[in-house]
Amino acid sequence: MDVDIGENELGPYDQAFISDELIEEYAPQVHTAEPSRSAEVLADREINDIQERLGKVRRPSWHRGPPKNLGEAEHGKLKAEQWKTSIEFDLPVALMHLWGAGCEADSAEHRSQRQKLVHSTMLLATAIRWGTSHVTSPHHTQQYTMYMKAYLECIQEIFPHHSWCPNHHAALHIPEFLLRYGPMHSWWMFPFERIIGALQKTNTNYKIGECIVQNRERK
Amino acid sequence: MVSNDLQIWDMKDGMAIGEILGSDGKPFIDGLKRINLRLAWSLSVDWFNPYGNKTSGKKKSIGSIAMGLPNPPPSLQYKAENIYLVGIIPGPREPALDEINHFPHPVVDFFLSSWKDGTWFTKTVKHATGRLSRSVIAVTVNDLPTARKLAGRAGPTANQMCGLCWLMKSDIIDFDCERWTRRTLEEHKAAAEEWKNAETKASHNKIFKQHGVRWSELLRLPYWDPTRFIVIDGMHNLFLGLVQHHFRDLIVIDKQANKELRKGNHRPVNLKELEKGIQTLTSNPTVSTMTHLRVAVLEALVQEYGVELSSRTHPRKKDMIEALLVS
Repeated sequence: MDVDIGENELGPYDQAFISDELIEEYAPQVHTAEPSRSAEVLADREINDIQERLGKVRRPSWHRGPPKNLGEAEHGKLKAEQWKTSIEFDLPVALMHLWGAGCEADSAEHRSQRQKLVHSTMLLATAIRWGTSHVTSPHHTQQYTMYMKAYLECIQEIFPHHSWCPNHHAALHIPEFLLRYGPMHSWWMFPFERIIGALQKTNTNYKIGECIVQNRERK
Repeated sequence: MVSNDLQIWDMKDGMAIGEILGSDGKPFIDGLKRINLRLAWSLSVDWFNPYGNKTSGKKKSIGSIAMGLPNPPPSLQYKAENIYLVGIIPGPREPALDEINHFPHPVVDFFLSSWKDGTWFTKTVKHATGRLSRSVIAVTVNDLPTARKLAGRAGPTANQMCGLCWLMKSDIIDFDCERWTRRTLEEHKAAAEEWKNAETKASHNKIFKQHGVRWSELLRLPYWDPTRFIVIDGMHNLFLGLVQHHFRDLIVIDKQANKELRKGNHRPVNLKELEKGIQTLTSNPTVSTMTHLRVAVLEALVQEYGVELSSRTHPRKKDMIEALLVS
């Protein structure tokens, strides 16, 4: 197989996200060999490398990145905002350092597997970048659809037995809403989740779902 | 590239707001041509655990109904002080199926009369002689399960998995979105009416099974279209959905999960082990006797018998045992 993103399909904006060099670097080397399960598994060493890269990132004070010990059980669930920063910057950069140019791997199969993974990560990141822009247009939605489809097809190829979620399907419905309602910032749930955060912090008497009238009757 | 005319910077520039008609049959929002106030709201229903998000501890679910107002400029739209908390849906669990309809009911009552007749304010800061205000619900923002519940649709795990098109769960692998058949408002409304008019529980179930539609309170709003007004929320769909799935289930960035995968792969299965596995499987075993087998042996058995695994990229022991016992 060949990766679907040829250079001719890339607009000027894309180069900010995937440079020509990187594409030349790994696209031709991707081939059909189905990876064995052992090649899929990340070694602790690789996760440690990712953590080290994350630790070196300096970010603005208002910016909340992924936990520095990403991959350990201790950090618990990540917030939506942390996944957002992860895909926008941290993980594509860390993975590219780790598995991009000059990647050291045990075997050719192993190396190709890693490069496919990093490629799919870049496709997802690019799709999301087009989808969550502060301005949108028919061009934005076309780009989003193109990259999202390429991402899904890439995953389909790496993991032929992958079980798809309704989310994967729904993601391809997003463009119509971008045209109907404009940039995603005015219709995503971040502001509403903040209200929920405030409600969660409210002190309660731990009698959820029991109403006051009921209590009076008991007396 | 694209000419500037086509760029959309705000919800008010999108096609949706202009399509909503007022009770007079003319566009509801038409710039600043009229004296009365026209407001387009966004509605969001979501569930949360009042005891916090700890995995251990009590699990209760209560709901919040909140609204935002996209009329002001984008920088003001979603400031916390501009969000209107309409109500709380009491716990301790999520209302099931069509039970949820009781909660939007008063909201719909208000918005119906506000769209039809408007609300008269006898005096406002800028209008000393009073001003009429009209409101519509222009968009509802929810995660996938709640969106379906509000629309009166089958949940995202049902066979009719999508509320927007007719693609079935079995065809989930079809990414050719230009060729999907859209659902229409007419179909949805007809089915919902039929459900509402049915009298027995059995006929409710029958209609639901056929169309995947129940009655939804929001359908009382004449302009509201469940196939167009319910957006796919980017926060849940992209960040908590696709991105999380990508890193946790595909790349598998968690050490613990990797360790489990590695354990299953390390020691290759020898013939003796496989024979013993087949023997166990053919002796009408229980789940617990099957659990004694190694993951690698189970994998070999799955391959040997050509059993279809229904779920996940990295199947767990439990999944494989279930699949083997069913076959």
